[in-house]
Amino acid sequence: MPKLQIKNIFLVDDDPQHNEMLREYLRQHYKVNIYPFTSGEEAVKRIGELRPAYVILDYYLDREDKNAKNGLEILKMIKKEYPDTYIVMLSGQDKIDVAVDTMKFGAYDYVVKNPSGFIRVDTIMRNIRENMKLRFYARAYRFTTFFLGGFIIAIIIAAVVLRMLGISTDNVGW
Amino acid sequence: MTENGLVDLSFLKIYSGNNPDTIKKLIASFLEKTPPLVQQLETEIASRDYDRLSRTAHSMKPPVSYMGMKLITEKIAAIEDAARAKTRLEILPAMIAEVKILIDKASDELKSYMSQL
Repeated sequence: MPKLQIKNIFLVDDDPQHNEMLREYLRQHYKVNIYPFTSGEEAVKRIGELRPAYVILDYYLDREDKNAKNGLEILKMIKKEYPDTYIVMLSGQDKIDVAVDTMKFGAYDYVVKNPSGFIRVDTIMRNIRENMKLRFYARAYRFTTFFLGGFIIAIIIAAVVLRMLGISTDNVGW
Repeated sequence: MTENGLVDLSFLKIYSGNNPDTIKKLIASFLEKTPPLVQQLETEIASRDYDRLSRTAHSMKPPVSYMGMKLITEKIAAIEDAARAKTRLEILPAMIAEVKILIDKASDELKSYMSQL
């Protein structure tokens, strides 16, 4: 599976104007590749190839196509195949149960589509970047600890073996 | 935008970095796309398709809120909630008629603002 691409962002919203507004806003703040989609199905088709670190996904996606899968279904599909993707759900509804539902299925956060929503998306993206950085450092720390631990154990084993073979003694220098 | 008006373009100004071309583009898009949605509300209430009505109202909220139309956003949210819960159905046509009048007024404000840009 291709690696997660921190520079790739998917915007999935059946309202092309909202997609365009958010795209412009993000373009002003980040040097990233933004891929807008008006349907969840289209986004799912491209996700394996582009591996976006972030997907900003609208809750309702059936404005044009009544049979289109909604955001929650798309969220589940993406999370099943690519669980490391950070998904931020968008909706015009300021309803706690909708937010809880999306988080239950693995959304990183939930943003209401209103003027402050743009700033919220920006803040969430910064948090995700910070989160990814911390995860990277944690992995590096674990690797270093493991490597150093192994090195120390190897030295101890070598010392014991040398001692048993009589190659080393307590009388250093004699 | 105006002291007692229905529109407040503070968000658009911040969003666009006070760029008149971007503001004009967004207002023009709003003026083009909103009347058909209001018409859709009327069609859906006439056919008593409350689920679609709730979704149409839902989709109107973000663009209306970006234009700083706080009062209209609240009224549209009330339509969405009533249609979804299928309550207050007898007053829904009046609520939609009121939103239509308010959006017409707000659109006039936006047109007048655009002509000054």
